Amino acid sequence: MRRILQIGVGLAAALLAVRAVAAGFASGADARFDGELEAQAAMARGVDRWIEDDLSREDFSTGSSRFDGEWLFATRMMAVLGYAQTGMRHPELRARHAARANDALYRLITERGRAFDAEAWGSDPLADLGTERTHVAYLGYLSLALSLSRQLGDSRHEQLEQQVIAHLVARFEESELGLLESYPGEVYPIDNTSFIGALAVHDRVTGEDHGALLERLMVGLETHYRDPHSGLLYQAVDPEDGAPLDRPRGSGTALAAYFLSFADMERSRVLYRAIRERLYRDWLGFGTVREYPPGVVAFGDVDSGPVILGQGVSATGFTIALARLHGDREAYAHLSATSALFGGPVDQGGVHHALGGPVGDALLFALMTAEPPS
Amino acid sequence: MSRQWPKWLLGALALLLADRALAHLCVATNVAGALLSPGGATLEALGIALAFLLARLGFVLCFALGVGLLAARALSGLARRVT
Repeated sequence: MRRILQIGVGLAAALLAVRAVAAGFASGADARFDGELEAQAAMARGVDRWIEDDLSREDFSTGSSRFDGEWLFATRMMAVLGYAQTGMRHPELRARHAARANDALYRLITERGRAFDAEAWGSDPLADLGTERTHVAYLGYLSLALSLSRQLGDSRHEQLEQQVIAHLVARFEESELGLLESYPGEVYPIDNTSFIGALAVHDRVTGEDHGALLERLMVGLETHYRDPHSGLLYQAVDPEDGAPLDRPRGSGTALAAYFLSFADMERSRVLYRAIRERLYRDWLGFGTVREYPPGVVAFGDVDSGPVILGQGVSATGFTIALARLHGDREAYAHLSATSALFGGPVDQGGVHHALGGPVGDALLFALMTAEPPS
Repeated sequence: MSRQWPKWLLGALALLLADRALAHLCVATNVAGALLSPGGATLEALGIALAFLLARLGFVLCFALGVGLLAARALSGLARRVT
């Protein structure tokens, strides 16, 4: 009897120790959740290095030239989002972050920055503005970075922002599916949601009104590209008829919910609720998010990152933004603990992540500082 | 077995120190993507990233075991005193 009690107490203490470690890894999460200036500025300083460095595709190692280009693009694009969000929140950071966002945007639109998309399409995305070619893998995300930079008060890329928005508005108005191709023959709802967020920000900044188009696109997303059972978005659909080509997934849904928050907080909340109820798990203070609904066994890919015991690295990271946007402090802290456990944040005058690198630092900067639209 | 707790906690401390050093090495050598997408990573980058991850998970495991064994040992000592 005494032996059993001893084992029970030992086990309980060990579990409590894991919980204490999780709380330790989550230290700082409260300050970030509350949007404290120094917590956000430290993350921005970490990303500064990757914007100052003249990164190239060779700095990434996905094994695919296109994916290396996407990661390089994502590093700068998410950096702009992070700078814009923190600049909007803290007026004292605004001028500095507007300048940093401008640097990142400048690198995004260089020939090297858009090469991954140009290679996939066989034509340059900026030269194709005003044509039938949609380039949503590049222009969709670029439009969000441009519109947020404009919202921050930086007018240096105003003309380009106007052109990109006009190009995509024209293409979406003609689209029966309500979705455009990311690459020739490839349609991903998540990529399209970046433009929905961009258009809403653009309208708020310029006073233009694309409300009817925005509503049509978001209703289309809900009715055609959302799995009725799980409430999650399909990751890929058929460019001909919009039929799902992939399962509903956590990574795409979480990132889409983040982008949709720029346009419609309530629709973003509906997706977050589906993730929270169907995919979110808590392991002694470490929060994780499944890549696929329960019962689906599948491996990871470039979108999900590694999938371990069903839990996705990307889905877990992306959901941090939703927890902050929708006021879920507990999930924010527990997801931050997991991010710290596997990401390994290191303060070197700015926050870097041992296993994050440029794209990880920039993603976490944007996701952890996600702000409800003002 | 429960007398082994100091060794586990010392092991946890050693792994924590290794973890810190490896984290800085990971940032300095930019091995970050090695585990996220190992397709194009060099063996050296994979090695450093894996060593960091193992040190980190090892620390959590050793610390939890050390604390568990310490608690079991404390209970055993208390029971002996009471009886």
